[in-house]
Amino acid sequence: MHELLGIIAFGIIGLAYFIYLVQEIPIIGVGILNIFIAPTNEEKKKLQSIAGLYSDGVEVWLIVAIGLTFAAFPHAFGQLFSGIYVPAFLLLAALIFRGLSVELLFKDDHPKWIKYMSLAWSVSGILLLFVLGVFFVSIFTGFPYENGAMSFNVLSIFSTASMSGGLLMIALAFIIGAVWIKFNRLPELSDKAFRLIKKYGIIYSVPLLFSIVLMGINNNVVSIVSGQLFLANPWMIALPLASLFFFILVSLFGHLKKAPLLYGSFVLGLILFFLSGFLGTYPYILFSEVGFNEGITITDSMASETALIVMSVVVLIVLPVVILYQGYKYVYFLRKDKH
Amino acid sequence: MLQILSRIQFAFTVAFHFLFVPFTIGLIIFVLIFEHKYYKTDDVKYKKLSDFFGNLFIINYAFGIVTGIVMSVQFGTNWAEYSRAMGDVFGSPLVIEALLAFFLEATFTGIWAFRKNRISKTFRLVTVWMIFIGVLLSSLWIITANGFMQNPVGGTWIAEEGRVVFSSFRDLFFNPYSWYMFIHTNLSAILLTGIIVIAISMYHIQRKHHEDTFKISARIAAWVILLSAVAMPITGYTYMNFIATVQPDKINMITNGVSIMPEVSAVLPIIVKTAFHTMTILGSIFILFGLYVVVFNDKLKESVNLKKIAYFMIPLPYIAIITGWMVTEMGRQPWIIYNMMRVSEGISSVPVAQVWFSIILLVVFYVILFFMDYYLSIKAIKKGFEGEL
Repeated sequence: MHELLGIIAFGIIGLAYFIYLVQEIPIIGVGILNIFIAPTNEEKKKLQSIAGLYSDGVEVWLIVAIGLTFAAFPHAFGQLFSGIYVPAFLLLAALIFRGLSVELLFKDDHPKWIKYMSLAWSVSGILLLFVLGVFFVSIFTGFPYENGAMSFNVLSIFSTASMSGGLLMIALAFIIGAVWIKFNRLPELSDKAFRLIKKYGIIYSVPLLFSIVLMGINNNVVSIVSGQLFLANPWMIALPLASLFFFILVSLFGHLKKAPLLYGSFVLGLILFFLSGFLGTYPYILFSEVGFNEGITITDSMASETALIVMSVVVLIVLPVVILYQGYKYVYFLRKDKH
Repeated sequence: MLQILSRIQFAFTVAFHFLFVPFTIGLIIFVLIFEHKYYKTDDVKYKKLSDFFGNLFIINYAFGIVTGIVMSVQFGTNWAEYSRAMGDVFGSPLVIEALLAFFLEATFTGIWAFRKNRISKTFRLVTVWMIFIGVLLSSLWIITANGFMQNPVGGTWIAEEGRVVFSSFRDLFFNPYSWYMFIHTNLSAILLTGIIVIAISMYHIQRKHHEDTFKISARIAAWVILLSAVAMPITGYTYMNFIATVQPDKINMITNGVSIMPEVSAVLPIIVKTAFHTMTILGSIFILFGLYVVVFNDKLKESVNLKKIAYFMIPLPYIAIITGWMVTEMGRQPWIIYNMMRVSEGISSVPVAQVWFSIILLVVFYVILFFMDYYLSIKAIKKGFEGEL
């Protein structure tokens, strides 16, 4: 029972990270695009309106994922975040400026204020997604954790694969940001965004960057494909490959400007990427690239049965309600909004 | 050195975060009152007040939420051993806080900030109610976590493993320490906001800018100040009596300025004692001020002295709140979890240079944030009802 609760908590953390990212990418994308496609205040206001409405609610998913790691796997939480000390503070810096810029962009009408806040909105979005991409790919490729401690300097987690993951997130934000603008019935701005991502080849970079991420994940001595579940179920190799397939479709539908199909491919690609990553690292909550036995497993690190029962009950009751009212918010405003 | 730096960083980040928190807790209550009045009477004056103070809420909420995220990550980066030892008990309230409170306030604050002028009156009221409930639940759960550190009930210390194991959710939730703190902290937030609201209202009344409308907020604020200022020492006194039973050393520091714990430096109890007396003296001033503004509410229109006093009062509740927290947190030293774990046992082993990096980064950022908030708040206050809120 205790172990099952630990596995459920592990699954919920993965789910929370996924729900966070699948919402954050389009919202941040709008922010990043603002300095490229919206020169006037009126255009910036429209973009702020379709991003700001959701951004706070989206950010809570990240807090939930981090909070759940703290609550369910306190030992791994401490080891992980003290190990990635500098990237963690870079992430915080990006979160601070992204949160403030989107909320406060038009709280002052001085042109310099608007100029710097819109720049901060874009730059903090890029930094945030880059660090998040590095973070997630590092979770899947493993950290240099051995003998109960991280053995690396501040820059070690910035590998080729993890940085490609960071760039992948940024490229996706450009593309899905354009889709989100289209869904919100702002055709002129959306056309500008699509022209931009085509002109600079951003639309075509997604499968390439994802392939580098996959190579990084699979070329390691300790890799997800040699993890417990992948070895026991060889068919699971289809998961990362299907993910690559959907990221190729992202490029294809982006080229054809088929927004709904593009968005669907993005969601499926991301789901399969996260499924591959989290299932591949199972049963490790802190995956070590040095050797399987060096990592921290779910059972090594999980909180007491009472704590996990309390958390599971709360999560199972509250989470569906949250998904329901946040989902309703999307449906309500996507239907009603007129810009 | 590492311990000192981590402590300085935590004290700095939590104190900075707490500049915004009490103001937003109090403001959302004011906005709720105005929104209710608007819903019932359809009087546009209440809508204006709600939009005006709601705008101030959004500005300060934005700063509060981003500085709050720093706190949750900091447990892992700087207090890894504490997280490992305490995660079992501390984690649940944090997760519940995020699930029940943060989602509610963040989801609906987005609607308030970006759609309040495009939604119906009923939707507006529901939105403010949801934010209010979220804010209240948020303070409840974070205080529940802090209450355990002060009076650890609901968890058992396993000495061999050096960690706390969760034993009773009921005991954790109904910890009397948490409930005293919850009431005292929220009252102080309401009092602080009342003082700021009356100062802002007087500024506009005396400039003859929508004076009839701002008289409404001044009258409500005057009563809020008086009632909360009177309630503070009453709850504080019962709170103190309870502390005497569970943390006698804290009372010792408050009354005698000494600690029975050998590792506590001689200076610390004196700081605790001074902080406590500062807080109580300020508490008495707040009662007098509350009486004054209630009795002489009609004089608000012309009394320049009263306006000056109101401006002068604004920093005082902040000082009272910070000194109150100094008593609470310094008074439990050397424990991070009272009688279970020492502060020195809770820190992460990270290179000192990295902690220096984060402190410098945070100080630079927070100085920028402070001036941004000050600039925007003052500008919004001076602007009054002009322009889009």
